[in-house]
Formats: sequence, C-alpha cells, structure tokens
Amino acid sequence: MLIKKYLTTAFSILNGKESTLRTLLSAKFLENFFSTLKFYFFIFVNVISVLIIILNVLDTIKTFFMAYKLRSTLLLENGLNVADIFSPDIFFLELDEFVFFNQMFSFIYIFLWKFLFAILMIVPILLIVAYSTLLERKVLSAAQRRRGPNKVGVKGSAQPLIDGVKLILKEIIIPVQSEN
Amino acid sequence: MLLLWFIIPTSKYGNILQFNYELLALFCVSVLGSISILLAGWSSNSKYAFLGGVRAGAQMISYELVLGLLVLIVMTVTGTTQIIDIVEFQDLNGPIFLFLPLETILFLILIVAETNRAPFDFAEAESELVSGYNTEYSGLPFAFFFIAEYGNILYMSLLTSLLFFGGWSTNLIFFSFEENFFLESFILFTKTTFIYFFFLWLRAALPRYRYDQLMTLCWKVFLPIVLVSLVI
Repeated sequence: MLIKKYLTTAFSILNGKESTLRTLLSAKFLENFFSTLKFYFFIFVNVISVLIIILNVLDTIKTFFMAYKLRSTLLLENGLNVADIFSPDIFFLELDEFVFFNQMFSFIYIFLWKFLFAILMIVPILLIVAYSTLLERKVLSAAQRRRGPNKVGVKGSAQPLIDGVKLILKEIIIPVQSEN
Repeated sequence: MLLLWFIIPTSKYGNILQFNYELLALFCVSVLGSISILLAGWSSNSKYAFLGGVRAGAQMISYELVLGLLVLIVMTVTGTTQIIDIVEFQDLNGPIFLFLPLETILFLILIVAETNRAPFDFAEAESELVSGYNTEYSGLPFAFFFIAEYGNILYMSLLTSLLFFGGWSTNLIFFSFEENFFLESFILFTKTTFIYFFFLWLRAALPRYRYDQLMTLCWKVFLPIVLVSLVI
C-alpha cells in the first residue's frame, strides 16, 4: 500500500501541470534540445579551452621568469657571480647594503611582473566572456528551434566582437530635462 | 570595482595572488559585486532601476551567506582554504561531489540564484521591470555591466568545477591519464563549460520564480539544511 501510494504521488508530480521536473525531463524537450546542440557545444568547448590554454601558457612564462630571477638573486646572496651585476653603482656598496638592496629590487620586480600578467590576463578573460554570450545565444536558439546568430563571420563566429564594437561606438544619451 | 572580478578568477589556474586565505578573500571580493549593482540601480534615478538594484542586492546578500557556509563545509572536509590544495585533495581521494552529493546540488542551485540568472532573475525581470538595474545605461557603461554579469557566471561555474568536480585533476573516476599541461586545462574547462551549459539549460526550460518564494526558499529551506549538514 505504501509503495503504491508513493508511486502514485511520484507519478502525479511528474505529470502535474505546474511541475518543473516535467518540463526539464520530458523526452520531447530533451530530444529537441540535445540533437541540435551536439555540434555547437563541442565547437565552443574547443574555442574556450584554446583561450584558456593561452592563459596557462602566459602563466608558465611568468613562472619561468620568476624562477630565473630567484636563481640569480640566490647566486648574488651567496656571493657568486658578482661580475654579472649590470649597473656599476651596486658594485661599490658594502655586502649588507647590497643584500638589502637586492631584496628590495627583487620584491619590486616580482610585484611588477604580477601586475603585468594580471593586465595581460584580462584580455583572454574578456574574449571568453564574449564567446560565452555567443554560446548562450546559440543554445537558446537551439532550444527554441531557431538558428541564432549566423550572419557575421563564419556561422556567426564574429558576432560577439562586432557586438562589443557596436556598444563602444554607441552614443551615450542622457536626457537634458531629466532630474539629476 | 568591476575589474576586481577579473583579477580574482585568475588566481585559480594562474595564481597571480597566492596567499593562505584564498577562498575567504574570494568571498570578500564577491560581496563588492552586489554593492556595485545596488549603487548602480540607486544612482540612475529611475524607479525600475532602483527596484531592480534593491532586489538584486537583497537576493545576492542573502544567498551569499548560504554559499559561504557551503564553501565552509568544503573547507572543513579538505582542511585547507587554498584552492590548489583542495584540488590536490580531490586528485588523491576522488572528486568531492561523491562525498557531498546534497551539498553539490545545493551549490548548483545557489550559484544560479547568486548570479541573478533565470529562474531567479529578479534583478532584470523583463515582464516586471524594464531591464532592471541597467535600464538607464547604454553604450560602454552597459557593456561593463554586461561583462561583469557574464564574467560572474563563468567565475561561479569555474569555482564549482574546482571545488566539487575535481578541477584540473587528471585522476578521473574510471580512468586516469598522465599529467599533461594541455590536457589538464582542457579537462578543467570542459567541466566549466558543462556547468555554464547547465545555467543555459535552466534558462531555456524553467519559468521565473516569485520573489517572496525566493526569499523564503533561501532563509527557511537552504539555510537550515546547510547549517545541519555543517554540524554533521
């Protein structure tokens, strides 16, 4: 009896008019949705992952430079390779002052590198955001059996960039007679 | 203020800012996002924008609380606050969503509510408010809001894939690969794209919630569940 009651309630939930599960899991919706989506989805996974690989390559370059800098500072602190110092002013400093100066210099250097790579990383992130909007429009169009953006570029691939250009070039309108 | 979003997400895979309390700092910064939306809605001197901003502010603050508690659960399970250590933990023991399935489902619902997406998109409900807090903005300022919104969504899906679905660990459930730089980033961003796809799926399928139902859902359903599971 209990099992029967449970089954009937579950069935009524699945078939109820206001059930959200019904729309999410109904076979017709899923079939329409996924059959049109396979193609687009894997293309965009590839595009986004390629951009992220660029990000990671930037990061490895950064770590490479950091390690190089660290090695050179260690060598200098141990008193080796003093001849490698570039500017002659440092050469006449005493050892304690020299180590202090070197630490200060490496701190500023590392900070500058971090700052530079933070700025460099913004560009790929902006690109990912732009292409995610294209992915969204394509997915929603596939869910509603439309085509989505397919005019600009190859199958709509330049759409987000052109959208961004349009937004930048757009005139900012502030009504004159409005309260401020 | 909006560019803060783009400095913090890079700390996952890039580690520009690497220090001991990474996750806590992430939540400190993500609170700033709700403040910016609130201020933008209030300062544009229009009732639609004001209503949208207030709604978004209340929603994001109340859901931030539950989200923070969920992340606290993950931190107590793994024992670290650093994301790299959490991913290493999952590399050794398997992804966290096997240990905490309830919390994972909750987290997936909460990030949809946190980023103001359908079915919880009250900040820009087109049928009620014109387009919410960014009604009065056009051109470049609107582009900034747009970028901030989508960057927020991507950042949240990245955070979910890192915290609950194993991140870049090549040790998958059924088979494991050798550690490879490109393969790792590919795995991480396939997961992230799947979670972003989950967002879009919800938007395509579900109708909008009601605002009072949303707030009761947060304070009377999610918060007790999370508190009880935190104690357990």
